[in-house]
Order: sequence, then structure tokens, then C-alpha cells
Amino acid sequence: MQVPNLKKELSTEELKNLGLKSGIEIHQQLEGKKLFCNCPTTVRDDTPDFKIKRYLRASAGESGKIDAAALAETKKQKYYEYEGYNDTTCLVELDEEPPGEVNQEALSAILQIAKLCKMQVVDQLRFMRKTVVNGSNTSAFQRTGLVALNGKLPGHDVGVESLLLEEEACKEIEKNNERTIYNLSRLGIPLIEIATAPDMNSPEQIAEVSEYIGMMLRSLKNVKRGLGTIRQDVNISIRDGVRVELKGVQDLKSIATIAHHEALRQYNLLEIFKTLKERKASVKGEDGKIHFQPINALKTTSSEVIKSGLQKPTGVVYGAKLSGFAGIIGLEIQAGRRYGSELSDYAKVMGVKGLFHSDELPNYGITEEEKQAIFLELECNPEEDAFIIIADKEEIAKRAMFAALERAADFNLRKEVRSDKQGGASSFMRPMPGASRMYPETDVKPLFIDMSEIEVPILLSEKIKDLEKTYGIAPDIAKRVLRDGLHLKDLHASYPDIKISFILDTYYGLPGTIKKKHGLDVDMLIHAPSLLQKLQAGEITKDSFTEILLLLAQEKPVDYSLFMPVSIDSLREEITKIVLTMKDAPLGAIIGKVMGTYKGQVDGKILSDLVRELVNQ
Amino acid sequence: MELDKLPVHAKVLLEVGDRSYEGLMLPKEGDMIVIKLASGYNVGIHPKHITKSEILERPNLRTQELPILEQNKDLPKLKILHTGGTIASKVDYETGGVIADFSPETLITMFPELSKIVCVESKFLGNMFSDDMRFSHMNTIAKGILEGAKEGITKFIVTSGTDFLHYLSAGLSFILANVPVSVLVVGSQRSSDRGSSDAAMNLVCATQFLATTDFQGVGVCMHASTNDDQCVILPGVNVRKMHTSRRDAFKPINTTKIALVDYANKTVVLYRKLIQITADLPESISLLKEDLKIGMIQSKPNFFAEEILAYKKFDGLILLGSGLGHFPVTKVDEFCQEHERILEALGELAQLMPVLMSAQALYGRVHMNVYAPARALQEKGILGHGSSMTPETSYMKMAWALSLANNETLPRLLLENRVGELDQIHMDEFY
Repeated sequence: MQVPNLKKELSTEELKNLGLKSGIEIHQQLEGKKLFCNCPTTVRDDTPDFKIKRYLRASAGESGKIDAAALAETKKQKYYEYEGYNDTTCLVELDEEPPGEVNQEALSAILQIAKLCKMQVVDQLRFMRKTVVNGSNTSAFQRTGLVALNGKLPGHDVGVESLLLEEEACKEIEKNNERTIYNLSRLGIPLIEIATAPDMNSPEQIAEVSEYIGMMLRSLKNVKRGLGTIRQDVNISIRDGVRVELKGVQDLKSIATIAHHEALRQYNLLEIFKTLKERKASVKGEDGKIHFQPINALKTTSSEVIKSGLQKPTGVVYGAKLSGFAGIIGLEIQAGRRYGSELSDYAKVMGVKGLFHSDELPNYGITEEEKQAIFLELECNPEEDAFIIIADKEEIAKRAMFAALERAADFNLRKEVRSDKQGGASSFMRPMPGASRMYPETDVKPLFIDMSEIEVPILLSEKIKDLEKTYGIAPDIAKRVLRDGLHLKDLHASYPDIKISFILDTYYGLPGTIKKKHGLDVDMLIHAPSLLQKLQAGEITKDSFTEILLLLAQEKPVDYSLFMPVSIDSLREEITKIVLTMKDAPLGAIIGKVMGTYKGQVDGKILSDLVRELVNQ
Repeated sequence: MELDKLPVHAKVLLEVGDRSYEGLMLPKEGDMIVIKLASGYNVGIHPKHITKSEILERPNLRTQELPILEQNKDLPKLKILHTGGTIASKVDYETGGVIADFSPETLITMFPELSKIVCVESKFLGNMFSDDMRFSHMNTIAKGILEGAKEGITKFIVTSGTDFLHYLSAGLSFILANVPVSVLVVGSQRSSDRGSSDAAMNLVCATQFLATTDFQGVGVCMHASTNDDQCVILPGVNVRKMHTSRRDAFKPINTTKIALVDYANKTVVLYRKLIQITADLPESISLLKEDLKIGMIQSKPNFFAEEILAYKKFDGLILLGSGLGHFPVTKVDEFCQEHERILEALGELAQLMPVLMSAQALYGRVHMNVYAPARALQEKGILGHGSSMTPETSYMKMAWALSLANNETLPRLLLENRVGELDQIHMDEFY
């Protein structure tokens, strides 16, 4: 029997030869109000005020076709629960009121990006309904509009294919086979989706471009910051393969590994399909239909997994013969994932925990005898054929069996949306949605786009360079200045006698020192202005900042009069006494003593200069 | 290629300066050229920006195949009459038109659950916004029901848009009173082309209710709350759309629900004793006179007699009185000169036509004995004392009564309970 020639990894050279192509889609949330209502964009996780229950069904799109992704979801026959808040959830999120006017600030933000990337902006923005039947939108669709296409990423040889303005989906809270619980606070947050052309052909390039786009988006005034506010999907294909979308890649660093593993998966699957064709393998019966049957051989099995499936109401164990598949299902196609994992993913989508296949048995409590009995029952030739088995409630097991066998019968790569797993491998989530999932959002009037007042945003990278040049500060500090929205020019005007370097150290150096030494957190965006103001007014000394902050961090009262600057002349006499009593001590010790006594009241340098002077006398 | 000659559904290439759009040509909207890109997105392009256009592929008209339908003939028969609205809207978004196919096959394809409960027949009567409905349409629906009943069907669903749904249900209630049929008027507040539509659940619950209970008469079936868990069966009269957009927009006014139907468990809980119609199926029914003109006018500050007199040539008038059934008819001071004229005008109209009072407060009874202004109105011949009909039910009852009665019997007909619209008892739970 033919055996496919699979690879464990691909070298850079091999990757290049396979024709790796990749594009990315970045989704960035915007701050302010929601896209089609006036609810705030705060994502909440506190106790909800109410919960509602809904079912969703697949419906035909514009062309009369039901979208593959939508159908896959409704086959699961689930219901959804939505949690909301009396003060921040309105009828629009509940799908009980038509959408309001488009959020103009969000529109303006996305148009700035369009201008920056020199894109072809549509004359009229027409919002569409993109069918989403996993329940993450109460309306069962996501409102999305194509704003611009065909641009170029500034300074890169990478095209920007499209720019979309869309609604964010609900946040998933909990999920099981019967229902999913969602929180409504995230639903409807404006989202910019920027999609590049598949112009990247190395994993490193993908990472660099993705970082650049992130920076570009953060150059806008109203982007949301923090974990989960930006998400990226990576599209990957190899020359003979298909385009696969990897969802929600959180970590830029992992992109390289993911791209590598996807190329490897596609390469290995193509090899397996070639072998299966050569072997004339088949899954369907002579009638061209998919068949499976209850397995009697496992009725008294001691396998816990099978037993728990059988014990469910209407529980059953189904099996099916895969003719010509001997030795194939157990082959590894990606780190930790076998060809069987691909089939199992399709079954899992239908609500089962997984499947067993003949290549991995005996195991999991299924004995060699039972395995042989199954072969016999399914009329398999163990030398040539393989089988898969699934145990669960009858309805679920049927759907899962059908899904897995239908995938096994297809010797082609599929356009899929996959979720990234640790270590670079990925698992099937749903079929790649097609154009038939889109139809017009007739509740939103088409919008004429006016670019005349749209200004190109100044890039964060340029602002950083500018700060470096003007104030001579380090790039990482410049980044933080921009992130916190500090205006150095204004700060300089407010505190003309204080050096910019001291101001920046107050904001970004001191908190670190205090944290390190005392384990306390201080928020300088709150405290710095008042300290700097007092310093400028001559009410406290520079050296008192740490002590005052320590008190503030511990929420203790501060008596600022203790930190009043004292004139050095008024202390001369007292310090002379100290120097005289310590005249035999080393200079360092004397300075230490004096500093300890008057620290915070007089500038340290002035104190040490005075001690030196007195000692020398 | 001239832009006007680009056929709808053709695959086209449109050049805009040095860039281009490729996609499916959709019907023009005003000046804008609209095309669907391969990604599924529609975009609008101003023709003045298009420098060149080209047809890449001629339109390829699709035909949709429907499965051959095998229904279980042992199940109760149910006839669905479709009048429009979002409940079974199949909008062809490519052309912007509405698909007028309302065969049982289409229905069962859209709502496969129905075929497990009943054996469906269907009739397509039209597709309109319910606010375009006239008495002629209501007559057609009533005739359709009688026709079905003569063929031996007793269970009917009338699908309708929701805006005038309560007028339709009230109209049918009066026309079909004493006809031994069960009719539910069903609407939906989210169109059936979207996955979150309430259409399927409303239809399934209505079907379940009709198939498993002895209900007779006319009712309404809609969502009981914003949740997809229960539908409420409401009487055809004194029911009202109380929200512009929510699924549970329909509420009983001065009455109570008939039943709740659980969607998941398919169980029915009755809240009322069901009425039994013992009469035989009549040969014909009295329909609404289609040219009737009935006015409806609301009491408000700064009212003018002229507003009433505008209805002089009408056949009847419904008043939405303030409070217990009042109009500004008292001359309190020099600012209220007009009020005497209003009283005169109302009196004048009451001589010409039936003028029936209902309450703009909606909930509660009209009571025209309590205050002097209403007593004055009664003296002028305004009817309606004691009525608990909603303005819409009053309107449809007036239409029915005017179609049926002569001037002498009319007042009695208007204020005599026929299908529960004038219940004698108001319970605390009604409000």
C-alpha cells in the first residue's frame, strides 16, 4: 500500500518554494459611543441586570443561498442567552430597535486611515448585514460597510485591500452544547477592519507589518487601548493549497510559527490526499451516500469515554468504515495533530467531545479484541481499511458522524476559518464564509462620503521622532508620553523653571523606584501635576517628591510645610556643629549624616557642597 | 458602454480614474450606480466618476429549486392566508423586489417545523405594508376564510404586517363572529430574512395553539416578551400595538390574554375559558362597505370646532376623548370662546352620523356621567358611555355596524357586546 511522504517541518527554503502567501486582517475597537446607538463603549464584566433568551436560524441571503458558515452553526440547534445592563444596554443591542445614525467620529477615524493609505474611497458607503449565526450578534448579522479599497501601507510594499467599518460582537461568557451565554456590553462597539493584500511571503514580514498597522491605528485619537481591543486574523495559503483564515492571533511573536505550521499542514494534507486517491480510498457507499451504523461490539465495553456516551439519554455508539484508509488517520500533519484531528474537529463542531479511529486503538479502554470485533462488524479489511467511532446522544452523534465522514470523503483542502492553538498548530472552527452571507442593511441609509475635511493623521512613529529630536528624550519614554497624552510644550510653559528631564523622571522614573523599593503603586497622572505645581511655586523641594508620594500611596495625610525649602544660610551654623563633632569621620559619612538630617528640605547637591566646603576649612 | 445600458445582474468592470471596481450590477438607486463586489459588499459609485465601463459577463438568471413536499395528511389541516408584512417576506435583494411565491412548499422550506404539527395549505392574497390595508382587503381575507371553511378547513392563520394588525384582527372578529372557525392573525417584528426573526416562533406557536386547542373565533399570536420562549395568544379585539419595534409590541387592553404557548416544550396554558361557536357555517357573511368614511379625532389643548366640522361629510366619527371621555367644551373664561362652538359642532355631527367616544388613555372605561362636560356631550348625542373598546376596535366596530345596520339599530349595535369587546368586568390585572 502506498504511504504518503510527510514532513515534520519545513526549511525557509522549502517554505519559499511552496509559495507561502499571507495577508492579515486587523480589527481595532474605537472609543466613544457605539456604531449605531449612543451606548458607551465600556466592556463590562460586573453582574448583569438582566438576561434574555433567543434562538437564531439560518436564513437565505440575497442570492437565495444559505451561507455555509451559517448553516454549520444552525445545525447545532442551540439557544443563546444575552446579559445586559439597565444603564448601558439599549434596545438596539437587544435587536428590539432599528439602528440609529452612524457614529460620525468612528467614520471620520476610518476615513483618516483611508487617506493615509491613499485608498480608493467609495462614493457611497452602504452598510451590509453579514450573517453571523453563532449568536454573537443578537440580530444574527454583523453590520459592516466597505469604506475604501486598493491602498498601500505607507513605507511598505504591501497593499491594503479593504477598509471596513463594522460592529463588534458580544463577548462570550460561557458555552456548552445547549447554549452560549454572551455579554451585550461589547456588542456594537465601532471596529475598524483593515485587510492587507496577500503580499507577505515570510513569517517575519507578517509580524513587522502587523506591528506597523497597530502603530498606525494607535495614531488615531479615539482608538481603544488594552487587552482585547485589537485582534488580528492571519490568512495563509501555499501555491497548491487554499486560503485559510487563522482567527484571533493574540501574540505577534507567534505569527511566524503559525504561518510555518499552516504551510506544513497544507503540504502534508495534500500528500495524504494524493495517497488516498492512489489507493482509491472511499468513504461513501456504492449509492454515493454516507453510511454509519450502531456498533454492537462496544455495548459492554469498559472504555469510560464510550460508556459515558452510551449512558446519556438516547445514547448510542456509531461506527463507519473508511475504505482504503489503513494507517492514514493516525499520521501526524502538524505538531501534536494527526489527520484524525482534522476529522475530529468537524465532529466536535456538532457537539461531541471527539472521535476514536482504528489507528489509535487499542487504547482509551478499548481492547484489541473489541477493535477486531468492530473491524468485523463494519466488514473492514484491517490491512486496508480504517474506521471511526463516536458515542453520544443519538441526534448529536448522528450529526457529528455525518460531519466527520463528509470531511473524510472530500480529498481536497478546504477554505476554513481555524483557531490558533498553542505551539503553532490550529484547529477547524467553521467553513470560510462566502459572499452569500452578505445582504444589504436596509435600516441604515446609504451615506455619501465627504473627504474634504478629513486630515491625514500624524503617525505615532513620527510623533516619537519629533519628541526625540525636540526634547532629546529616549524613544520608550516618548512612546509613554504620547500614550498618556502629555503635551511637553504645555508642561514646559506651566513649569518654566523645571527641566523637562526632571518632569519626565517624575512621571516615568519615580513610580518605578517607589514600586521597587517599597512595593507601592502610585499613579503619576494624578499626583504629578500637583507636585510639579508646588515645586514651581517654591512650596516644596525637588528631593521631597519620593517621601510625599510614599505618604500619598499609603493614603496618609501630607503636611507639605515639612517639605518647605529651607535656605542653606539658615542651616550653616547647625551643619558646622555636625561637621565639627564628626571631624575624624570620613567625608562620605559626614555627608550621609547631614543629608539624612536635612533631606527633602534642601537640595542634596547644595548640602554636599556645603559639607565639602566646611570640611576643607 | 453607456452606463444606462449595463444590465442588472451583469458582471461589470467600472473604471474610476486609474482604479476600478468589478462586481455584479445592482438596480440603480437615484443617481448612484450600485454594484456588489466579489466579497459580498455593495458599494455606491457616482456615475460622474466612472470613466469607462465594460460588461464582463451577461446576467445569469438563477432558478431556485424547491424540494418536493410530502405532507402528513393525517395531521390537522391549516390554511395560511398571506397578506404581507415581514413574517414571510422573501425579499429578492438583487432586484429589490419581493418574491410573491407563497406556496406551501416555500412556507415549509422556510419553516419546516410546521409540517410536523399540521398539514399546510396556503393562499397568497397580496404583499403589502399593513398600513396600506383597506376594507376591501379585509373583505378579501374574510372571504378567503369562508371559502376555506366551505372546503372543510377550520383552522386559519392570517399573516399580516404589524402596523394595522390590530385593525385587521378586530375587523375579522366582527365580520366572522358566529362563524365556526379558528383564526389567528400573526405578524413579526423582525423580518424573516434575518436569523433573529421572530416570524418562525410566532408561526409555530400559532400553529401549535390552533392544532391542539378548541379555540374558536379570531385572535392574535405574537411574542409574549423579548425572550424567544413564549408566544401570547390575544383576543382579536382590544389588542394593540404598543411599541414601534419590540417583538412583544402587542398587548391586551382592558382584557386579558387567552393563552401562552411555550415554544420549546410546545405546551399551551389557557388563561380564559374558550368560547364555543355552535352556529352552522353560514352561506355568506356580511362584509364591510368598502367606501365607508369614518373619522378619528383626538381631544387636545387649543382644539378648534373646525377640526370636527371637517368630518361633516363622513359616515361616522370616533373620538379619542381625554380622561373618562371628554372634549374641551366648557367656556371657563374669555380664552375659551371656542369651546362652545366645539360642543355645537359635535352636536351637529352627532345629528348626521354616529359619533362614538373612546379614551385616549387606552386603559379603562369611558364614563360620561362623572363630569359635566361629558354629560353635555351625551346630551348632544355622543355615544360610548361605558365603552371599554380601544380606539381601533371602536373604529372597526363602527365600520362593521355601519355596513350592517340602519340608523335606528346602529346605536344599539355599537354598544352591545359581540365578541368580548365590551366586557362588563374590568379586573385589576388588565392594567
